[in-house]
Amino acid sequence: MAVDALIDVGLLFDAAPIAQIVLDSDLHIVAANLSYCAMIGRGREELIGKNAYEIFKANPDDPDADNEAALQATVLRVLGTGVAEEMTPHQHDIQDADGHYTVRHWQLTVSPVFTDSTKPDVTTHALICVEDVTKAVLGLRINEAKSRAAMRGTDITYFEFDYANHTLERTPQLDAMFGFDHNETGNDVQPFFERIYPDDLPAINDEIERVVRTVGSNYQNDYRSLWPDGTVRWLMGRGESIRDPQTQSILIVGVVLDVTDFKLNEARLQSALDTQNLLMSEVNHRVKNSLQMVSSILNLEAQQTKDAVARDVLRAATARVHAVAAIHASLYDGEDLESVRLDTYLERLKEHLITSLSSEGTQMRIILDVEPIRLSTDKAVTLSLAVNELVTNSFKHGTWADGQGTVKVWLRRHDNNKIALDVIDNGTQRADGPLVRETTPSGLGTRLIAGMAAQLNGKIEEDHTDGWRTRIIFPG
Amino acid sequence: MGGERALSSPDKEPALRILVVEDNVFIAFDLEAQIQDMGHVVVGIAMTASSAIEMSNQHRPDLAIVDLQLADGSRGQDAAEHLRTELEIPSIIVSGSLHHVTADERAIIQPIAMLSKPLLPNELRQVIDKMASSQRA
Repeated sequence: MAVDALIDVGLLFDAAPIAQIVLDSDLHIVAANLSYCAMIGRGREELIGKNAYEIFKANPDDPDADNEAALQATVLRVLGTGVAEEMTPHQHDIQDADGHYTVRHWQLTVSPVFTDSTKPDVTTHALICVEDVTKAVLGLRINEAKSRAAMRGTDITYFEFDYANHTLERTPQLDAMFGFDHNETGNDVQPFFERIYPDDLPAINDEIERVVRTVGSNYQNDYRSLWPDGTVRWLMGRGESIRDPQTQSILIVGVVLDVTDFKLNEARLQSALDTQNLLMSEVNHRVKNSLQMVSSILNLEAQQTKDAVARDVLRAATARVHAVAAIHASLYDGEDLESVRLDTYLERLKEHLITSLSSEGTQMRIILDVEPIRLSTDKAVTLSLAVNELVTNSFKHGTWADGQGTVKVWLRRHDNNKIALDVIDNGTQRADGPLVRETTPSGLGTRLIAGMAAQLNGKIEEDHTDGWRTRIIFPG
Repeated sequence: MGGERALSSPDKEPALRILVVEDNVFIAFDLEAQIQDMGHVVVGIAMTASSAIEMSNQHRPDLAIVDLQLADGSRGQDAAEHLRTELEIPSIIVSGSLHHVTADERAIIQPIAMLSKPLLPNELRQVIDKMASSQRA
């Protein structure tokens, strides 16, 4: 037998310098040693028979106070395996008799124990060694808070606000931030509250209430002071609540930083950005208006022209202007000005082409099969003009037995770092026809397609075996 | 400017009488030509908001085609609002910056359509045809 029957196990338990409690599988406290009672500041009679989390209720201001489930799981695991486990440190704040919480961090070690001496191999309970690691976790924060704050630079003030007594101890810089001369006010906090910008006051009061409820919690307030002469200063307060070791009263200690210059700079930057956006919008408007004007001039010329051939030339020119305009619309729809999503863009170009070409009296469909590739704006403009020429060609020169034509625009990644554009129609054309069907008598269409392929640093392939297919392969 | 020439034949729906509010002369003439080509009548071309209202009082058009930024710094929205609320004349807004029309203005104007410049070929025709056929119905 490991323990001499003459030794009282209870005495050993109480003599241990480490705080220990015994919990059953439902986290009810079965036993607690003297070290534990001393550390927590509660008598045994308050603890025994109660659920641990009923006694130590979670702090409603600590959003992470949810370790009950973790402890429950660990206890069940230890009872099942019979192997002790050390839990990772966690925060669980403890409520004083007067209702205030204090920030506390704990390290728990859970060991299996038996309570029925006739069945020493059946573990029914968990022995928890409870270590208060608050100081280690917070880096002795409470004791050092004052000196740390005082060591900050000279532009920063140090303050100590006594919540219950309504007093404010501070360095002279804080008076200056509120427009007070040195020694103009005493240590009453009220004059300072009276110079807080009225809109900011509710948030400040809420924050003070919150921080005072939980001693050791962080204080964070951004607000403005409003001086009698109308001066506004932007202030940033940072600190924490502590309990004064001598007086036991709750203090908020911390620093205040005057960030007015930063705020003004921020406003200037915002204003510059607004101006730039306005300018951008204005330029965008001008460009769209100018494109409309060019298109209107061509329309008017076409309208006046009696020569059908000349009118077709002008209509083709208008279509080319629209191909460029579609790119412009796509550009300003997105945030990115340097590249264009080809799938969304070609969808728009398709609408242009359908509306402009459907009046030619041909029933045509355009099918898009386009991968979501981004292309630089310059290349996208060139590509769109090529698509415009090729699709227009198919509409104008393809012949269809049933009058139902389909043009497919197919764009996808090809080989390594290349992009392939295919414009395919299901029309028929004599095999000895010209290599590229032309949109204008001048052969401009041919030259444009060749020129655009060259501009894309690509090459053209053609295939007339089944309908009409033109392929341009270019580096992406 | 726009003479009252109707090109519609008698068996078609009656021509609409349309006011063009646009301060760019090329665009205004182009719109006029497009409208006449559709068989409708252009009652006038206004280049400012005030002249748009004046011409509307005089000619009582069925529809106005309204640009936003007009000559003398006046706003197409103001003309379109007046036309809608005082004269019950609907508008089609045509502009390069449609986002300048606020939600409130839009609620008052109740535009038949808001078309972005540059106009697609036939875009205007589709909107006006739809309006003409719904009027006939």
